[in-house]
Amino acid sequence: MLSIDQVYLGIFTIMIFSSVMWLSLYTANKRIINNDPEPSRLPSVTFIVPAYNEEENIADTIQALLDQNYPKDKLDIIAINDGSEDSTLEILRSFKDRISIIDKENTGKANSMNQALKKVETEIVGCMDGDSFPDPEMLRSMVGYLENNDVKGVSPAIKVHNPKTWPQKIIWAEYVYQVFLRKVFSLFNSQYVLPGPGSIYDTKFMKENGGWDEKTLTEDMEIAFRVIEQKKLLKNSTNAYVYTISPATLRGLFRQRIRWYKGYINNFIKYKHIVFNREYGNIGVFFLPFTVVWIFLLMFLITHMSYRIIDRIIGFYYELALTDFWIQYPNLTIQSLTYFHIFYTLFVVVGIGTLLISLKVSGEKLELRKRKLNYLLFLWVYAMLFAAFWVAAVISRIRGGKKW
Amino acid sequence: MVKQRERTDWEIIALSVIATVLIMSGIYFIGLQFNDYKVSSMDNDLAQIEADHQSQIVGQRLAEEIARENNCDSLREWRDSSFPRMEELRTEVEAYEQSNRFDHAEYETVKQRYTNMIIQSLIEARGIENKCNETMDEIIYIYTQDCQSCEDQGTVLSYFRQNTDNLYVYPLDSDLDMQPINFLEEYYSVEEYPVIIVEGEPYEGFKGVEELEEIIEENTEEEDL
Repeated sequence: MLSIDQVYLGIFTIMIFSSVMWLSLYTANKRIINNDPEPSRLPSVTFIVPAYNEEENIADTIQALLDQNYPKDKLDIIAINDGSEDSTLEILRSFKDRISIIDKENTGKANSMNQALKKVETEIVGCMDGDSFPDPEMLRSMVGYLENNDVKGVSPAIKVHNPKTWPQKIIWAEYVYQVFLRKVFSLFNSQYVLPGPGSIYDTKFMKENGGWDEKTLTEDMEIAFRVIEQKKLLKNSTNAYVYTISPATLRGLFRQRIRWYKGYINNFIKYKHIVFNREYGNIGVFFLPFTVVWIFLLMFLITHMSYRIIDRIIGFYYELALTDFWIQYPNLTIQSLTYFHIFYTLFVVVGIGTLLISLKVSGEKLELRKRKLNYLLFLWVYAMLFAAFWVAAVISRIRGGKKW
Repeated sequence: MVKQRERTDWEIIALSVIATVLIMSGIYFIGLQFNDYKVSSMDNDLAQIEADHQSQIVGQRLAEEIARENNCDSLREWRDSSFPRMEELRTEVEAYEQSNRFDHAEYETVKQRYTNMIIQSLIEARGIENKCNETMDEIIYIYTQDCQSCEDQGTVLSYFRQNTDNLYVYPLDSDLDMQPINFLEEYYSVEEYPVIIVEGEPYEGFKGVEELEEIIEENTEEEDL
């Protein structure tokens, strides 16, 4: 039987291995990480903007797309009003001489995008959620990657737009990390999602493959797995900034993440033939199996941590009941320190180091004073939230059976 | 040429594995060194208290031999300075045992010496009582590892020690299998742990705050009569 110390040593080993792996990939590719391939010519692009009740943001989204630093004759925009009950359609119509508009019943995001895809005649097709705002240089930073015929999709660097509430502040920091991680994953050919805000695709590939999957929870992940299945490549640009609105409440965040993580589990099962398959290189042999290890590790950590906290509280009240008095605990002496504290210190150093690298990669400044809450919440709350969301997603997936 | 999608970067994975092994063994090694340092730090503290103790005993003998008198002032002085230091050492020993993750060859010896010192100070304290006409409440407390009611007893005793003047608790670990502890156990025919011995009277099993208060009161009253 393993002792709890041995289990933790195993967990530390996996954590150190991950850190070493991603940090050494970063170090090896440091020079090219923020350098996107210069396009030899600018291809024609259509952005599809599906919108369902997006009256608050859709005007800014469309405007940001119109403001792209890209030749006007090479950039088309198709906005879809997916049966909105608010004034989305009226707002879209105010742009009607500059964009195409499809107005239809509510059929869901993937179906909306597929209807628009049929009308796309450009070489490249992009998607843009109705609550996201691309930086003017976004498109230009990404198109160069598609000159390699094997590349079928490119993802941008997503950031949280104007974080106000604490869930948004946590996710702001998460997204900064994600900019770094997504780049490193893409360098390792292990990117597995082409996010809704701003990813671009090879139109021919999309049309040949029937567009986005309308049955999945996360069509932006499903399409990425399909690209991988056909042994094509996905790239990422860390300079293609796009700002998106993250859920303002914990409840909203919870629902979003359950959908995402269930979507991941479903896609993992759907594409399980890729897992441990040497024909798919890094992502099959190493990356996908490793994510499973991480998910279990996180679920164990959150369970054990909760157990320890509860145990501590019970113990505290138990001692109180024994003596009717709050026992003064002995001061911490050097004797209380063990080599586990070396690990803890190491993880704090690696965490902060990675944060600084991520900030640099995503072109953000530390701004400690202004963003101290972002960082503190991220360091203290994020891991627990993340693990709890995964536990909830796994439970929900098991209870939901094989339903999508 | 293998397509990019089909390539597995074994070199990166292998290098990361090697680096991880190096880091893990490095930390483990530092951990072992640190553990050595912790044990030797306790060892040093112990040696100092022992040396003081030795001087006290020698000094006492000398006084008896030459002046034929009990040097009560110096006995009290020694007690008041060394008992708090022993208390500190006890905190360290507790912290060490609670956080211990390695077996340390020398720790057993340190613990034995520490226990000897507790027993010796018990004898000395009795000497003070007899020779210098002073009362000190003493509780001898024998426990075993992995025994929940012993832990509870420890909690209750810590509470007492912190809140009662002139009370001295002598905790002894039965698992050490040391001659003086075995003697006490045989003498008081101990069968169940924890055991507390108050003024020569053994009480087996967990005793809560109120019970313990009664026990102490009873025994001190007897003494007063």
